[in-house]
Amino acid sequence: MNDAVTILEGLLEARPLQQYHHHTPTRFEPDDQFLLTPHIRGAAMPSLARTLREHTITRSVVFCSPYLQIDPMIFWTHRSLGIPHASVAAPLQTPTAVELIKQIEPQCVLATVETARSLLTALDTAGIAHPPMWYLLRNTASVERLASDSLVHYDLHVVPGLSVAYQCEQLATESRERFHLAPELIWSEQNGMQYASTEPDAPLNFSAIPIFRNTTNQKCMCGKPAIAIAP
Amino acid sequence: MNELMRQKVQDAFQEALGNEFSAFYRTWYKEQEITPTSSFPRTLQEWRTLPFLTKEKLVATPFLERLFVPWEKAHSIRTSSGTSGRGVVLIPRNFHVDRSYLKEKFTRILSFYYPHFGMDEACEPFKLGHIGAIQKMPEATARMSSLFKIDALAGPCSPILAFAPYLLKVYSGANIRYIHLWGEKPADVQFQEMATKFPNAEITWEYSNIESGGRSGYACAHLESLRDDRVHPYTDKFYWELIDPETSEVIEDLDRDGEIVLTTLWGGNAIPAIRYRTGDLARRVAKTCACVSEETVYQMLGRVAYDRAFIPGGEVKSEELERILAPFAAEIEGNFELHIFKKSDTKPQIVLYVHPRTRGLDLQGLARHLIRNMRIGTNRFLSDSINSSLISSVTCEPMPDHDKKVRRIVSHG
Repeated sequence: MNDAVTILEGLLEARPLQQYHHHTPTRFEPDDQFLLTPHIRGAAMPSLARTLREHTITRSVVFCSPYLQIDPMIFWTHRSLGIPHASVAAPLQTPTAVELIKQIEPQCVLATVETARSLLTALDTAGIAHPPMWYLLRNTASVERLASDSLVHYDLHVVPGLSVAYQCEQLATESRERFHLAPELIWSEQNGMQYASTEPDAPLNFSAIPIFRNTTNQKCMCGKPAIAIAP
Repeated sequence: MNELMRQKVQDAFQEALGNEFSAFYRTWYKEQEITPTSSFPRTLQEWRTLPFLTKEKLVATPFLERLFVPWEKAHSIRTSSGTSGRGVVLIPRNFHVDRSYLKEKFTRILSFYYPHFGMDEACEPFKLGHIGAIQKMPEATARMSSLFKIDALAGPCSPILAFAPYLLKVYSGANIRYIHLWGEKPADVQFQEMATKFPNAEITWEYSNIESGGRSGYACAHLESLRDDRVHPYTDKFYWELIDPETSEVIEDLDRDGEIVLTTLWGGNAIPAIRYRTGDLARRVAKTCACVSEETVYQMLGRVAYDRAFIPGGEVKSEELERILAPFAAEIEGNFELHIFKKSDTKPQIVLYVHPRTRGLDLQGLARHLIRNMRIGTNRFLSDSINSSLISSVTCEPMPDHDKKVRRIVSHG
């Protein structure tokens, strides 16, 4: 458990949830301690929207665990951009995911590292070509990477649905762990530790929560600042 | 088919036939040597010359060849559940299903439907809260439901009942005030079990079919009160037909069972259904309600593939099994599987699998009850086929996989 999640769960303990429309769990794996993170109605994922726009994606497939409850956020992101997509539950609907990829040939598959790995195996078994791009949601506490010849974008979430860092196409092509910090949050840095805050009216508002340690500020070739995260 | 309906059907048919983005129907009818004119169908008889669209035909046709709108106009791709065993169908959606009837029913719902966005989209206009159930993770789903303080459930009956014990461990069933069922037709005992577990819940069931676009029938207040799965067809959106699943003969009579065939009537549909065989069983019954609807009433009976099967000497039906098992509601759960094992050189063996609620259930006694009381035809009982040596044995056994919560009849061989 990282510090940020402990702090967020502490904040959530004292809050009424019911006024919000949509929720995601605070942990990437279910246990008997997780809480729910509130999101506004029709909440989209700005990090995903940026990448879909950057690559002019017109068809995508989502293959995530239903536990994450993130499927509606992905849906609203696609709807806001007018991009048709399909979403199937990992791992139970793996054959359906394979059939979808075969038939609609998506330019992008959204998954987690774990579900992407299992889907790659299923695609290879079925003799279906890999998608040209993966967009992978990853826990900030994880450093897992997908071994793939396709372009892989990582989107780091501190809790499912709360993106804190993303990769532009340039960073996605690198083998180093470099990211752009999510511009929807307010960032401050001290001794390599990156702290995030929200606007006061955010459904889950917080101030100066430690998100990344051992970072160095760098510049990406896209022109925006980036951080490198030491292993 | 009255003249107004004939006109609606003609418009829908001609739009599908002449669609500029998909030649699906043109190509298929040409293969069938059918060449409809621009005024087709002029009569009901002419309409009935069209072949039936089947799930197998949809599965066999690549998705992009049966997409009737430009790609970017399909706002999402849905998939059938895959439970029919006939393959997964990819269905483009370019319309919103009107769910305004949910508005006053609840504030926070747990739905058993994936993708979760389907219910989320339905809830959004009315500011209703929503979380989605997680397959194979009932404890996590129960925890989420409890944290979120849900007051409603939605989905097929069996997964909700399978989940209920997990929910009730951490959350009072009295908090649930609405249960919206779809999919499989719930048995009476399942309705009763649900009403016991969630005593304050209003329970409704709707007939829907994903391949032809969702809600196809509705229950007026009177039909809902009967609780025997009667619906009016949505005749502004669908043309309903009933056919004999064996012979494909169109059924006009009241009180005769048949398979529902649907034609979608609205324009601009991403995948119009023309005479789609749903695999769902119903019988047309006399209208007894006083509602303003002039529509026929259908009593829903289940799935062609899962709710009946022929055996030597007659036919076994889910509804009859439900009747037979109803007195045992305290001892067995509402789900069952009846398997008919047939080998070419032997007489069929029938095995009824049940979920006992308690240890020590007299399974042999249950089998005897079944043989003695189950009707398999007019004035014919299962015992007649046993006595005539048409069936070798009938036994009852506990369901091997207790996670499996379905109700069906399966004929092997």
